[in-house]
Amino acid sequence: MVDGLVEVPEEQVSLLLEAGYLYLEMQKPREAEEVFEGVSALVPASEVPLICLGNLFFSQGRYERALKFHRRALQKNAGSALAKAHVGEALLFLGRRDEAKSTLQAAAGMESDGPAAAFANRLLDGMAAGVV
Amino acid sequence: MTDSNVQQVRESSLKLSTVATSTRQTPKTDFGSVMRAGLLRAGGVAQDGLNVAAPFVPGGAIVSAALAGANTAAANTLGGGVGGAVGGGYGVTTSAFQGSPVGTGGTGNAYSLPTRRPGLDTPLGSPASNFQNGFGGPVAGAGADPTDAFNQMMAATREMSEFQASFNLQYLQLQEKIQMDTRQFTLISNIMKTKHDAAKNALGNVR
Repeated sequence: MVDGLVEVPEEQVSLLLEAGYLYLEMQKPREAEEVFEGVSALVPASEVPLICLGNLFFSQGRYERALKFHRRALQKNAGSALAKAHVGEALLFLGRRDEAKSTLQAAAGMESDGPAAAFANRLLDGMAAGVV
Repeated sequence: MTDSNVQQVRESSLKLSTVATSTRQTPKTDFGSVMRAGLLRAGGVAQDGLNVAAPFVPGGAIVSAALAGANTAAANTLGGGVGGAVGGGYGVTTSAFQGSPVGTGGTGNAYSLPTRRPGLDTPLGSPASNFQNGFGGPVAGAGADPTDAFNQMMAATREMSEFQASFNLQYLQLQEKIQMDTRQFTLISNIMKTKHDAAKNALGNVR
């Protein structure tokens, strides 16, 4: 169960977030945003819905807004390597490469071999190769 | 049996052939003929291939023309004649070999040399005398200098090798570009995959 306004089973929160991503893939960003914001209100302690919102705006090319949501996610959970990696990603696409590099390196250092660290490392590889 | 009877029997069993001997007619399978036929066929194949590819390859028409000239010169040289590059040489495709017999009437006149290289549809199975009549006749025309054909062939060969070097360079550059694109594609693919995995993992572990 996830604590929030009401207790919600983890599976249902996951399902709602999956639905939001489905809307995103269906090119329905408004509906996706509604779902993510709803989940964010439902489980205010979790940083994951905010990361989802950041990803939504990132996919639309609105990197500033994406960075804002990722930073809010990081504020909620300072130990979240995923939020940190996404902050680095948004910074990278905003052209702030030095900040992005240090943030991504920090994210990679927060986890030894988790998916967030892998994401940060691949971004660093892409930066080194000049791909991103 | 009397002696006269034995003599009669012996004489009747003897048969003497009085047919005059003639030269044995065998197909010309000596090295020179086979080599010539093979080279003509190879030249024709390359020429036809380049003719097809010419519109799609930069400078292909020039290479095709060069090969046509080289092929004509080679055919003339291989045919044992020194007819020279008739019809101006490069890229001239008029009559000959196809349809009408080479060397009108088989007269062996140098002016009846074909001005078109043999192609894939050239009846190579036709008597070799056709080629010999066409190419092997006495030289009686102007511009029949053997060095002309040789020089033209050399020039064409040189030009072709220059083009080949140029194409090789372009091909290498293209390969490098493709490799770079592939590397970039792989990197981006990895980034997107790890991002997807991270999001999936986060969705499955909401606290």
